[in-house]
Amino acid sequence: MNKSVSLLWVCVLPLVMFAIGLQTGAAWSKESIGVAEKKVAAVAQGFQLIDLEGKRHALSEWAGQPLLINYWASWCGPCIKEMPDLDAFSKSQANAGGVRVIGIATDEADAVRAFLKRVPVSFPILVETIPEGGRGSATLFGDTGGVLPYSVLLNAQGRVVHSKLGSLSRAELESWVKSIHSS
Amino acid sequence: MTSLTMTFLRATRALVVLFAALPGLLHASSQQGLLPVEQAFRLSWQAQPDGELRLSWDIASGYYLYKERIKVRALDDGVTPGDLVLPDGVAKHDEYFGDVQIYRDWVEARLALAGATRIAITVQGCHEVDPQICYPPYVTNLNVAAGGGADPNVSASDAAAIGEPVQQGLQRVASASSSAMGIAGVMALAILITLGLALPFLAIGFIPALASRLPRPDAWIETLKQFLAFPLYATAAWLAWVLTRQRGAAQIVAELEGERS
Repeated sequence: MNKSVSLLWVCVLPLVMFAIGLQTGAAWSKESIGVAEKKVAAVAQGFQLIDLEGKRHALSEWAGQPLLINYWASWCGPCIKEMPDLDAFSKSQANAGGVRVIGIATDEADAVRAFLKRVPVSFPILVETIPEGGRGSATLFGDTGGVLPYSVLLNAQGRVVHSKLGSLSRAELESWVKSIHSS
Repeated sequence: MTSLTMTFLRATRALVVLFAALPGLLHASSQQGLLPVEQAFRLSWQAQPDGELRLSWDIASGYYLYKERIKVRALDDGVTPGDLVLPDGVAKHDEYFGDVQIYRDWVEARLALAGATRIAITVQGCHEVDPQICYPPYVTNLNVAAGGGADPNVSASDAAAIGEPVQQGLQRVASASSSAMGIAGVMALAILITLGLALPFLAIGFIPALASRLPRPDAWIETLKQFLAFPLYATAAWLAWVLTRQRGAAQIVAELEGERS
């Protein structure tokens, strides 16, 4: 009797520990999203977001409507591959209440300008300069490594409803939009 | 209870807490199973007696570096090192960049230091299988006077410390919630691990004759148990160090108190 009880423990304890570990991991990743769930207006402070004319911007300018933020750079192959799709998406959302799209390039302004000359897009592009070893605004939305491309969809209340590392497909964008309207 | 037994129990408790936190650590340091940049492109370097610096990158499978985007500059004032000598890479047709050269697996470069003592190296690479992503330019500062070494930024959770297969396995498990493996896969793996851990006990259960081959418990086993507390302590201390490296000291305090900061 005693033996089978201890045998049970030997089997169950590692499982319990494993479950705790997974929970902890999930909680930690949620923690970073928790930070991102702050209102856009609050998030905007302290980041060097400049448009191509050199004018400073805050993310709060886009508050009050659903917003798709796409982090990209001209040196990032998978990023520039999705640019035409994002442009088409942006145009299709021009109606009232549609999703606004902005691109944030973690890149040099000159390189961004040169790229946009070749592949123009209609949505606003901001340039974010991240100091060496520093962290950019993408970190707040869960992109801890500053890896590109990274997209986040905020609802009109400024909460993160979806985020994705890697290129977005049209189908994914459509389902994101659907979920924002049903929520 | 002797104080040594108490010690053992405390060490065990700390270990359980930290072991439970390990998947979390790995999860925090990776996104969707992606390696941190310093592990995807693992740099090691060696200063040669003739004033040349040999650099090599061990590139993880599924990742590549752009040849054109490997850059070197001296951090000393008024010193200009020679050009970085890189071998031909593999040609890759990039939809935007056109034809570029990339490196997979491993690449070695040479640099004439020309008196430079501190060097900053920038690399930039991507992950070429799903999810296709690129890392931002990654800068490593080297103190050439030290002779040689590996990337100083690689943390204690580096594959070399834990053992690559173990870490990759754990990482895969840790990120399973967001990957194709799914919860069923995770549970299957957990059950397998559990069975493996329980195997000695199960074997004795099924073949009781094996029990007679076990050493008789005596006073010596107490001594051994108490002695084993020390490696356990060391492991706990090491894991605590990993935790502070990756999450900061505040997190470890919170973790040991069982609270979330």
